[in-house]
Amino acid sequence: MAVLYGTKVGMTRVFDGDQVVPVTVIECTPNEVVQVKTKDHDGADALKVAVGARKKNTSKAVAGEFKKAGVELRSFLKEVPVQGEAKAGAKLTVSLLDAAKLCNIIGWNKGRGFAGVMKRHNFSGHKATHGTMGHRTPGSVGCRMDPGKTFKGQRMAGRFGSEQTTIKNLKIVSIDAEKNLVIVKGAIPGPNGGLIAITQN
Amino acid sequence: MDLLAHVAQSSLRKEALGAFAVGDTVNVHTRIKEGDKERVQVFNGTVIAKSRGQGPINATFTVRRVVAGEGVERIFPSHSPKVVQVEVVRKGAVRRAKLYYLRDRVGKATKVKELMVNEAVAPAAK
Repeated sequence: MAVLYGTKVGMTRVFDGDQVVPVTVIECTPNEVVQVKTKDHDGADALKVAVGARKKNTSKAVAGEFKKAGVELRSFLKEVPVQGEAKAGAKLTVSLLDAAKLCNIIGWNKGRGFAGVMKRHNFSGHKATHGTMGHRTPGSVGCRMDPGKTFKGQRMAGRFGSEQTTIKNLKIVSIDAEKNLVIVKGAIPGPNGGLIAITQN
Repeated sequence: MDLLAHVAQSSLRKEALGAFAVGDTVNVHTRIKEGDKERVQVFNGTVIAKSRGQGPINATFTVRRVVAGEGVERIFPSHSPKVVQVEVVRKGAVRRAKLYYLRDRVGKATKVKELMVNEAVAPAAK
């Protein structure tokens, strides 16, 4: 299983024969191995990799991890399965996906803040005119004396978005090893510049 | 934007479609599939807009014609492989980049004045 982190660059289109293909471009600058975890020592075999562009502030404790591996500061440390060369300082590149035709994309969708029920749960809302006082209000949330309470799970306004979202079986259109690009067909979650994980079974 | 342009680069048209401007009357040749046969269809009309889009790959142009009293507009992606050729039938003399005002006109008023180039003065323009 290959797991590679990258950032969403944006969408464009390419022509495949006569067909237009909507594509999303993901830039995967080489994920650098910071630490090799072993089953004996850490409980599981895994790699700790540095991903993303450099963050503004890195604590000295975290910066020490990068320094030990001889890797430049990056914004995230992520754990991935053992793949490629398992050695601190090794680089995981898009070549891991060379043989793949399909991939899964894990992203974090756009945050919408505290959203009302119409946006968050696709409620219909109420009339705009004819004396209506509430236009986007949820309406009733329960019954009367019996059951005398609002049932759990009642859909209401609240924080919406910024959730992990997985898109399965996206077609890989092409891979550009020179520029570290993975080009997949269709849309993926999150804003341009957002962190994305590409996995392949 | 640079990386997006880089990805779309290979899909851009290799040879230019030929020079045509807003206001020109053109024949647009497109390849269409009927069953398993392929043939070239020609759409004749006035170019009323050219859109640059977000990045060159998304550029389009709009051609308008009036069929049986009903306005018909087609938007062609400039880089679509299905658009084979754009043939200029008549050059138009216009002063705007978008000729959306033609939509409100009926009959003879929908015509764009022909651009007359004085070849003795400006031979290079042809």
